[in-house]
Amino acid sequence: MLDLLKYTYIFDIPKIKESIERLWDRYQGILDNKNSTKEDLYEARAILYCLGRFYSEEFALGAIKRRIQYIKPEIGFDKFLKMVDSGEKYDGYNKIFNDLSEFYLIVKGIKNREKNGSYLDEERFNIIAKEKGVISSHPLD
Amino acid sequence: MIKGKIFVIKRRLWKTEDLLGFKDGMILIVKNTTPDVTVIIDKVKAIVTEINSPLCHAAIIAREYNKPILMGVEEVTKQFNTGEEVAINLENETIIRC
Repeated sequence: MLDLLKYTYIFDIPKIKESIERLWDRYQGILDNKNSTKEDLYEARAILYCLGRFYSEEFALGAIKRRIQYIKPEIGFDKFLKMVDSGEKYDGYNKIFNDLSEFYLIVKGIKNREKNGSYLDEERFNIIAKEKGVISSHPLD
Repeated sequence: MIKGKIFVIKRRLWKTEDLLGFKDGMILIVKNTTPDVTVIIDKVKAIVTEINSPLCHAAIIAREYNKPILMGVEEVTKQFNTGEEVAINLENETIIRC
């Protein structure tokens, strides 16, 4: 998780992507392993919260907002998101625009990730975590 | 001002089955959306959520499908029930019963 934050600070997009996938793989590994301990499941819970809410909705948001001012020609935050989401063509902006677009699409990838029929495989996490007595409420609640 | 009948999902972790009974032109009220919302998104008139972030799933989907959205309405899923008529004012960020 520290790697993900570190690479987001320095805005190394390939490393950001790699860090997200490493966290996801660890999360899946914990859920797949029948011998996962309570400690492991607390880690899975932390990863779920980090990817599902803190990173994607807060940290990444800050990372985009801080850099949007460097896009030339100037563009507002809402317009930037709208342009990328609508798939509108965006010629004429500088490299920062393309970098932020790429980053935003990676974050969107998290928000749209489903496994075993639920967002971020939450349902499976809930079942396993309850079986092991790890949670009484969900980390995203 | 957007007016219409609402469809409320009170559970946070919801799935396609929870959308049973959703009718064309209804306003969807949820804590947050999940990727399952794409099943009915074309029929959604507007979205109201408890969560409030420009990068939450609901905000993303609203931009992608050009749907009006009101975010950050505290406990909105507890305050309203499916079938009620509401009016949403996006400028004042309010939702009231008609």
